[in-house]
Amino acid sequence: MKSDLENGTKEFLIQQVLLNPGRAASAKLQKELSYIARERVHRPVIYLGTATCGMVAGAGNTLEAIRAYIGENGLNAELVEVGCIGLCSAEPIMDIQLPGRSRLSFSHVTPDKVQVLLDEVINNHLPDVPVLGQYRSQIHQEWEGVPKMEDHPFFKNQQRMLLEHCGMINPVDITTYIARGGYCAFVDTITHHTPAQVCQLVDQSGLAGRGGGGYPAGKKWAITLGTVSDQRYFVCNAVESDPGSYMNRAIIESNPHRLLEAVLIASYATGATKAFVFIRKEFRLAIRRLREALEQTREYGLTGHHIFDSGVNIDIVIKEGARAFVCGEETALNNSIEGKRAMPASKPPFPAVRGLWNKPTSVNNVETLFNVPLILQNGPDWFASTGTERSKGTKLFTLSGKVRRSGTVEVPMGISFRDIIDRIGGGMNSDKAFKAIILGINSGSYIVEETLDTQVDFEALKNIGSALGSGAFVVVDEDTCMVDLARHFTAFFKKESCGKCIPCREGTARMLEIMESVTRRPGGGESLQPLERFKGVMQLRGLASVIKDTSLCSLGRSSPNAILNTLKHFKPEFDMHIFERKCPANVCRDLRVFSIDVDLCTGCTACYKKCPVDAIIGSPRNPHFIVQDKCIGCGTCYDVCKFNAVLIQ
Amino acid sequence: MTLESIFAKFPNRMREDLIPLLQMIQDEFGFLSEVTIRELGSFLNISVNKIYGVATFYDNFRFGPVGRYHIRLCHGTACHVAGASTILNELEKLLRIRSGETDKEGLFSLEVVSCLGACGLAPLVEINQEYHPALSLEAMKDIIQRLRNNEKLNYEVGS
Amino acid sequence: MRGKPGTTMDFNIQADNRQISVQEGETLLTALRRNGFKVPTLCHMNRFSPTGACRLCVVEVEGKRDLITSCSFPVEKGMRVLTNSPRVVRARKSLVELLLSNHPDDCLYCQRNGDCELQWLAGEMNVKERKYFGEKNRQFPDHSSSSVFRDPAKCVLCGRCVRMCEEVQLVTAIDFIGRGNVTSVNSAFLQGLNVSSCIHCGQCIMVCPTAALLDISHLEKVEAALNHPGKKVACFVSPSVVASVAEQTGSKVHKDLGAEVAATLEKCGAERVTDLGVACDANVAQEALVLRERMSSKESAGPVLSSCCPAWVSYLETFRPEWLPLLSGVSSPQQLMGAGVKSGSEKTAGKEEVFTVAVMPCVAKKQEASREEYTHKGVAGVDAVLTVREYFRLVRSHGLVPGEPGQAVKPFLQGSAAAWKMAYSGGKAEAVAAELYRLTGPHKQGFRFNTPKNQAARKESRVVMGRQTPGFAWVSGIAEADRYIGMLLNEKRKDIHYVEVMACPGGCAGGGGQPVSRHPDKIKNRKKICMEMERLCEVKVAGENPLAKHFQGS
Repeated sequence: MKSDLENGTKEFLIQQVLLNPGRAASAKLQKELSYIARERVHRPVIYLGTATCGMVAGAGNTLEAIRAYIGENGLNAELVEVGCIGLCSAEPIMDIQLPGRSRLSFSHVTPDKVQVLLDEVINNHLPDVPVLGQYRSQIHQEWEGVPKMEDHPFFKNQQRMLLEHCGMINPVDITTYIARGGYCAFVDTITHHTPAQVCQLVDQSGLAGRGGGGYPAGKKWAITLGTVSDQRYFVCNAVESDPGSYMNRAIIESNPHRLLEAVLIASYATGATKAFVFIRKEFRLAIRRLREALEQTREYGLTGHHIFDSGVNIDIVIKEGARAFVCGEETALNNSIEGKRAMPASKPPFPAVRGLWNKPTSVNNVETLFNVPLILQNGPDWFASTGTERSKGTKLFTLSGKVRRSGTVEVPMGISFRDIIDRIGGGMNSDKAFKAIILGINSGSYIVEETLDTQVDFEALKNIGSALGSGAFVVVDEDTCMVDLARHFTAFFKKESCGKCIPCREGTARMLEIMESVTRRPGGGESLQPLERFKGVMQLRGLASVIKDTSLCSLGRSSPNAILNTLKHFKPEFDMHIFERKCPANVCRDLRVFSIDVDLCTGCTACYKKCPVDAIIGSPRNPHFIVQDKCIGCGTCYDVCKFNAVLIQ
Repeated sequence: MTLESIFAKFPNRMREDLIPLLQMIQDEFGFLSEVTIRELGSFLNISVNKIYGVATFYDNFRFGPVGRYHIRLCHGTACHVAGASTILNELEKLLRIRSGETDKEGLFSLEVVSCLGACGLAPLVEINQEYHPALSLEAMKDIIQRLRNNEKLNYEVGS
Repeated sequence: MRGKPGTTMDFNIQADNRQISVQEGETLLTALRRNGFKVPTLCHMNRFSPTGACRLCVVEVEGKRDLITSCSFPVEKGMRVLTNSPRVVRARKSLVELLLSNHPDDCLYCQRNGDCELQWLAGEMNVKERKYFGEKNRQFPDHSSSSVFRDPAKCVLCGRCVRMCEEVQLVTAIDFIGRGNVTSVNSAFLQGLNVSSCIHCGQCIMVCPTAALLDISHLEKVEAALNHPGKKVACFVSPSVVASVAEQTGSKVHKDLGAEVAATLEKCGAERVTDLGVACDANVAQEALVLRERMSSKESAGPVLSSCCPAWVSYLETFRPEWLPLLSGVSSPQQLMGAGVKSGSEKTAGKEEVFTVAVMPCVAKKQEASREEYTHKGVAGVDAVLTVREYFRLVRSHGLVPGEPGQAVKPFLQGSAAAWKMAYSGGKAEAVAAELYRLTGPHKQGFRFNTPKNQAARKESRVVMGRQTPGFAWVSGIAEADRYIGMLLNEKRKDIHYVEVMACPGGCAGGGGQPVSRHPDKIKNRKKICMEMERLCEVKVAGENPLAKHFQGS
């Protein structure tokens, strides 16, 4: 819902906020701003989380229901679509803010609950429905007996700096963003700092790349700035192709203005006059909101020529990327922007020196960038005060899998993985035992029971032979087969390999073959001997080390990680697959052992007719029998038996 | 929109316009045909072979029409752990096509994608841009049956 | 990439157990090779920027976690490089094994048996066993083109052909299609080469390390004709081929080189073998006439463009049809000869009995021979074209030794020095200039352009002939040709009247039908042989050759 951008408000914000950020604001000014920022409201405001996670959970229907309610009751209320607060497992989430009262938040708001909730709350009553919480407020009357959101176990242990406005504000309302301090850092920066100073400040803060690389952002910018050239570019990497991580998309859907502000600051710092936000075309909502936000920055003169009379020219272009995992690699990304196949290039030269169209180009991840306005606003020391000695700031994770609470979380560097699962995630979602945390396919790292107390920290993870990755955080329990997962990851790499270099192109195919021989049974009744499978696994290690040694890019280098880590942490499971042809988690379909219970079998011959390899023998009306040597474990007999006579071991 | 009106949006005819053009053409016509690729080659003065090479690199470009119901199944990590493999196997059996194909009647087409970004509600599919989260095998079968019978589904309004 | 000596900084780095001298800005590969280290490569091409695709050139560098591709990494002060550490040796071997895992196993039946870079690498890396037994990518061979045969199953995806076709020839008839393990080098929609924009120059064949790119074979046709009792095979051999045979066999230059080649063909069963040089002279003579005519006409749309290179003509037809009127329009020596032989034999026996075979340094000539305009009443002027490679295979399979001295029986060479000039870039322009000079000015023996020694960029020459000063230019490689002629027309230059264009860089000496060799001086050596043969010719200028008159008419 777009609020009306009257010229009055625009001028007011530009003059009073952007151009005079340091001036002590009068009480009157503060109050006026708080209305624009929606900290105070004149009439009831209903917020609904319509980021993708909300929509998938059914927020679209809830939206219709709210609109219908407002229409039917002639309600003088405002309906604002917001982003994602991060507790995706509680979506759809609806907030109601009455004038003078603190904001209430409700979870799992399906269309049928809308009437009840609104009926009660609009009339200042708390409904009988459980409340998610209320937002603490100094200025409003709080609701009795309603817990504070910040005390909710999910939010209590987070440190929400990047996520501070997500799920709270209208993502495509620049007035709200500015009233809450947005774009002040940018205007202040171009007015009072040189680009070199900005690089220095960011470097001092210790901000390191959050996409998985961990390279100091300020240093990269300084290299770009320092390379002599007539043209420089800046690229924001919003590809986020790591399956299992979606926080970049979520924060763009929730607060696109912050990304734009960060891109502007980074462009200024690196001397770039043109910036690209390369975002996957599939992120339809994020792109829509980003475009709308960008249009607003143009109206406010924050992008374009001679920004705020500073002589600075920065143009931002949103580039919708075609889909390939390898686009997340910076040189491949640059090639894709140029309209080519997204093949990585040799480094050196690094893009910071020679990137897009051979010009110096800094490429940064979305999460990394979200930190930038905060660093400029509050100073590098403030940023460095969070985190550990070597890893400063916070990290976003997308918690998913077998945890009770899932969604996007922001934790300070230094928190342990155990705390993330237990305190924030609420522990495992069933009685099954914890098995591992999968830190994304980019890194292929696992955190297992023994390493659960490791801190979220670049160095600490390196010490245990792991890497932080992009922020995917998938928790698995004993029902997940790690060998099958490793096979799945290897199949992913084979599919996503760009094909340029031999080790990755051919190596991933061979690794997949070996993994398939371990987790599957070939058709036709022939199966490899355990010794051959074992040889195959030995070959895996040699192959993996050559692939890591010689691959052109980090996709290739991390392709064997899943297998190597499974061998490292779950060797017994691996061995069981190879030698005993058993899958303890009962996931590898081909390795299941099927047998027929002679007491239950009626001899209907259904399974005998359907077996694709004729592994069942038996005559009509007599119990049937499965010949194990021929059985390929497809499970067809199990599917067709109407008498539950086929057993799986 | 005609092809000409799409071309008119890119008067500079730069190489960097290639992928946006391909995307716009596919959005409009549903897929990239040989004719449109040849026209594009003339427009941008780029070899058709190069354009085809670029288009075949990326997963989202199609060279044939999709079915009336285009099913995108998420096979990311969280979905895999939640049983997406089983759903995929079942879908392939039910529809008698593999990922990347369209069935003979032109009713269904199947595409496996790496991550739709709704990991908390795994496993899920997207059918014609509408999501169906937390799918069970039964629910998947039911959806296919209802689509075959031309029934309307209780869609979540997608983004 | 090296700077001029003396202007950049030299320093030393450590490679294995030696200190070697390197230049700032050059790659590790250049430095290592110059200092005598053997580093294997596959995707690397001289004078092309490195891509780092094959990873075979990896070396171990102290302080770097992974192995480094020497082709793309610049030398750095204080570098310590190990070129054959256990890690490096194992990596290179594994890479070759991986390539082999997706490559057909039929070396014994392969045309590049003994001459294949992958085969050589497998031997060098001491590959002794099959490591992988998985499925190989299934690809289908493409026989559609008249000149170039493709077998993607044997492709190692080094990318050399793609770069050659795109960067040197501006055609991009083939490109990488698909992604990952199923990538192939193909044309759009996997259609045959014959409907892509291929100009048949065959430069892709010249850079292919395996048998993924070969000639479309005419050997079967020729063998059949040679053995056919009712057919008489008339061969004509291009001087360029004679030079190549001499270069490959290491023969000393003497005036019977051509006769030796002819003798081998006769022993295979050819009825008559003639020197194409006569037709070359006819072609040059006619081009000079066309040039004189165009120069005297008031309106000139641009310079005369040579038209004997069929790949160049194909390029114009597909990409620059507006330049087609500038072509001289003279038939190529091959087609002049073919038409002449066929019409000559018409007067003797029935012409169906004569089977003409051209032995050329070119694969585009196969396409040219099949063009409709060179077929008269269903009979082609030239029935088959053999490349130098096919010549060697034909002759060896008959148990003969090409270039064996003392084989010459009859006198053979009938062309003038002009015919030898046509084998290398710049030679034809010189020959046409000499002929024009003969027509307009005093006779001169051994006409040579007056051009400065280092003429890397300057491939132009102006010759005063009477009251006019015609300008001649020569370019080879399509990119160079397109750029140069485009510049001439854009700037409306009136000082260049004739441009010799050869699609193959270096001219026919580097033609698509030549033996595939990575010897850096091969073109230079062939050119040298041609120039020595020129000196041995009695007739120096095309128009002076009385035999050339037999081939009048287009």
